[in-house]
Amino acid sequence: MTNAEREAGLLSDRYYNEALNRARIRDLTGAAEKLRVSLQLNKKNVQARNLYGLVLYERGETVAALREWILSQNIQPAMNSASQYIRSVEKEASKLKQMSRGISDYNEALRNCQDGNDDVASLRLRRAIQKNPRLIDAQLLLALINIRERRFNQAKRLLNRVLKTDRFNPQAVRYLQEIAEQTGNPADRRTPVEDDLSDEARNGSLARQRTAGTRNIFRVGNDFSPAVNIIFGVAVGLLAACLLIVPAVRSSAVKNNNDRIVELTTTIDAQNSQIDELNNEISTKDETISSTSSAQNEVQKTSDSAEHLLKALQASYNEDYETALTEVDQVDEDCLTADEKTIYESLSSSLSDQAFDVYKNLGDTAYYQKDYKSAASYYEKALATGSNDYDTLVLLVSSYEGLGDKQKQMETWQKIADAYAGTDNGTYAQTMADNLADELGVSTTDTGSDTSDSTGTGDTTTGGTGTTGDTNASGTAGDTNATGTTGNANTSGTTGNTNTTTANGTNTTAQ
Amino acid sequence: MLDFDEELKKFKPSLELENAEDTIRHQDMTDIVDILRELGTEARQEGNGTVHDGENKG
Repeated sequence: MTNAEREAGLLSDRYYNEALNRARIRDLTGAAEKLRVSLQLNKKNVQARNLYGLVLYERGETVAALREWILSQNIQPAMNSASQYIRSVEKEASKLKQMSRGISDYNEALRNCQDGNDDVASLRLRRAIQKNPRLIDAQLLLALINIRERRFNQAKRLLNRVLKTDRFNPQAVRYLQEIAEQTGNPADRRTPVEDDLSDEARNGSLARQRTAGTRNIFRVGNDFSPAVNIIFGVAVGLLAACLLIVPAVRSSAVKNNNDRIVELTTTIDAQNSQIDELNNEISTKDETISSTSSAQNEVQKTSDSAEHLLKALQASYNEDYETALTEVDQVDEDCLTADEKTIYESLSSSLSDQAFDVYKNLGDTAYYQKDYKSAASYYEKALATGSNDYDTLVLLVSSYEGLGDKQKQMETWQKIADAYAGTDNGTYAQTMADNLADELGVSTTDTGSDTSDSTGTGDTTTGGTGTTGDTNASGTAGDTNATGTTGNANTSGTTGNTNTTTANGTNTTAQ
Repeated sequence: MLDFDEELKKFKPSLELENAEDTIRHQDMTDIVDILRELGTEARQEGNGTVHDGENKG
């Protein structure tokens, strides 16, 4: 190794150490900059590359993180944390797929922004953040659009979220300053870091004031006499007031009160007679009220529909798409005005694009929390949007399995078999449906999909012995479907060592 | 005052799963050490060329 190489290596390590210090205080932007320099000095600095991957992962750039870890693994195949990172990401393959979709949405939104379509970009960015909540660039871009549209509160919320992850992100700090300038409220400029620091300062200054106050109380000396004189004078004045002035005031107040009571009694009598007259009027108007109650019901329905529409719009703006979908479902379109109908149709159309994703995500969350009942309900709603997504159908089967509902499992397998007839997935699903039908002692509708062993279902038929089938239903199938995109990550295995599973459940070792 | 278009230029697309293979295959892994080696090789080649020319002329 030459001197230059040695120097470059030492300098690379120094930059790596600086980056590590920054990463420890969550200065991800600063850490990333130092790590890029470190790797430019020494590409084989595996620790720097692994840390760079972690920083990218934390910023939501999952695929870029995987790229760094794969390169690191290539440089040093053994005793390398990168292998563990890659494995843990591949284990949650459905999450990887979702985050990747979020990244695609962000890239698409960026193109929309560059073409001047801020509204479409805004919707896409919300979707991107929902799928990949860590993606800092998406949050920053949406904040920028919100600032332009003068939606400062929403922008502030996003920027504070960014700063919780990347504490000193320069863009976020700058945008907050911009908001403070535009609103004229200096408090808007403050970042969560500054809030922490100012709390400490405030508490410190309060403590100092308390100590100073304590000292003042116990200080005696030349200041004593004037203070006592003042206190004595005030006490004498109060005594004089109590003994001389107050009784006189009280007696005149009593006289006034008596006069007032007489006056009020007269008024009350007059008002009582008025009340009697009004009661008579009320009884004659009862009939009128009952006849208008049906008209009021109509008005109430119209008002309710408008309220649901408004709530749906608000929920949509706040990215609470489940609430938005629930509210939209309760709107009675016939009770809306022409303008309201236009808004309703536009909102329904935009939500319906997201309905599947929203319900699928909710289902995934419930599933991983082992709340199979909720998971099944959400997956059914997702599929009710018209989708026949294989992943979702298989996860629905797994949810029914978690609930021990074999009838529903069988029906769902049959649905998959019908939807994917003529494919390997359809054939497999048909086998599973048939096995469950045998177990339950009922018949299924065979769509005539190829069940011959020569097409490779022999293995899955073996899976129909019960245990293996179940494993396939809940474990491998779900995983394989979820790792459908790991077929893409297969390509990442071309560097040599990554094993991945494809949608059909076969393990492939990269070359 | 924030210039939206100028700020927009700072945003770059993020790497997607579909492009991962290409990116890894074509990743430029040149570092300072490689550049120094290349410079050293070029310098040596130039040095050898000058000596030969001198010999020929002599």
